[in-house]
Amino acid sequence: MNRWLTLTSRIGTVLVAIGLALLLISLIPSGRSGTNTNGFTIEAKTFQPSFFTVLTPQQSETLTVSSSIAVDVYLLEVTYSAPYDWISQHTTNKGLNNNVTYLQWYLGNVSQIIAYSQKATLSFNYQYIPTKITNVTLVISNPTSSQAFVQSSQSISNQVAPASKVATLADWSIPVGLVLAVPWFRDLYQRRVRSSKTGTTVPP
Amino acid sequence: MPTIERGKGRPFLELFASSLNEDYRFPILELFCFLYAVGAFIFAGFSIGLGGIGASSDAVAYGLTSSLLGFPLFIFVILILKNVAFGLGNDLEKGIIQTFFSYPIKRHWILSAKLLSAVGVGLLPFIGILTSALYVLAPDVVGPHLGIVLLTFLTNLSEPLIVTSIVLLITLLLKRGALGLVLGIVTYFALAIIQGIVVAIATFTNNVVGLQILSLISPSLIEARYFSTQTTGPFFAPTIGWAPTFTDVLVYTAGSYFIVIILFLLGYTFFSRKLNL
Repeated sequence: MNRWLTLTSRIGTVLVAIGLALLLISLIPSGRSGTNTNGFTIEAKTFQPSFFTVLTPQQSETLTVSSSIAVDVYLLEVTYSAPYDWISQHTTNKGLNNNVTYLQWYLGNVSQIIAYSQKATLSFNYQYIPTKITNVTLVISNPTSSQAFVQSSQSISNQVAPASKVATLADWSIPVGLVLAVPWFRDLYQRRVRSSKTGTTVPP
Repeated sequence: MPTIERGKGRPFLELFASSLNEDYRFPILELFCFLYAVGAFIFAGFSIGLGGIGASSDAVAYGLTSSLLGFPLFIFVILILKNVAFGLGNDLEKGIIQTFFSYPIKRHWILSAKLLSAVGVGLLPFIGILTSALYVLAPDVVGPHLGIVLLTFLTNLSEPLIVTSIVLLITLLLKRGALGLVLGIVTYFALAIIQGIVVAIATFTNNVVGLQILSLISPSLIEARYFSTQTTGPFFAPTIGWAPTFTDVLVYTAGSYFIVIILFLLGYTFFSRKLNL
């Protein structure tokens, strides 16, 4: 078999091996470390941070929010107190600044901290997998003029690796590897046929 | 046995191809790549990031990289020791090297072809798979700190390379591979035990002379000490006595690779001038 073809085929078999390893990793089930549920009221034109966690890329956080009226939900990569700290630093008012106007002002200035957001929603469900060690806070904002009754829950899963990402890589690398390895498989088959006909071993 | 033709670079490439064929017979390379990929994800951890309060992002990148190096590095050591001791040793025992000496190629190119296949090609999947796995796992940790990731690879690879060069010398001296392989594995484990003892002495008595000397063979020790001084928290005791700087880490790493080069040069000199078959 041509050397370049051999090289391509071996790259193919290596890709298949890596793909199988990734598939194995993606099949390892994640372990759930418990669910926290929280029910509270958010006054009109105010916001309320809900859950604060430090997550690693080997963890995923599933957040659900259900509300009596449409609310804005933000997943922020900051600590629980960060919005309040920023607002109190940038205003003369030193009280609890949980007015939605302040939140909009804060988010407008540090928009890079928004990991995910959903506006005017009655039901929020999102799974967050960080790409670094990060602080995560769920912030629920009620921009309406009436009170909102909110139920939120948080569950954290521990995993070896981001399963969906790893599975996608496996889904690509195995077929690509198999295609690249076709000449090698064909050569192997032809050698087997020849050796069975002649009764001798054909060297690679 | 490969047919060697005259031509620019051709004998070297023929020998290299022949060595590749011997060192990475199916499914050796595939098996090792599978183990690298599985090991990279299974052993990766973020203990520095969570355990160390105020850990710098460099320290987190270092902690993540060094956490996954244990098992894959051991696998890598087995692979290159097998290639150097068994591959070269068997060629010496069976007289294949003697045949290579009759080819129109200088002796040092023969050894280069063997080592490029045994160590160089072995390094490619090791670094490639592990770095990719790190990137898949934590792109925002690895991407901005690729320099730290590569430095951690460098500091952790120098000790296996020193052991490999010792195994090469033993294999060339004894002209057989099995003993070289056994001595190589014993040396690798002995160094690990000595490291443990030296680190314990440095921690309990603040006597860091042993640690400083051993850091020339295993610069991963000085790198670990450097990053432990960058991190405070419940799992990190304050480092008293010797607080190396980043320049020290680079100097010790360069020093250890200087030792690696000297040992490999000794192997080359012996192979080129003193090896009688």
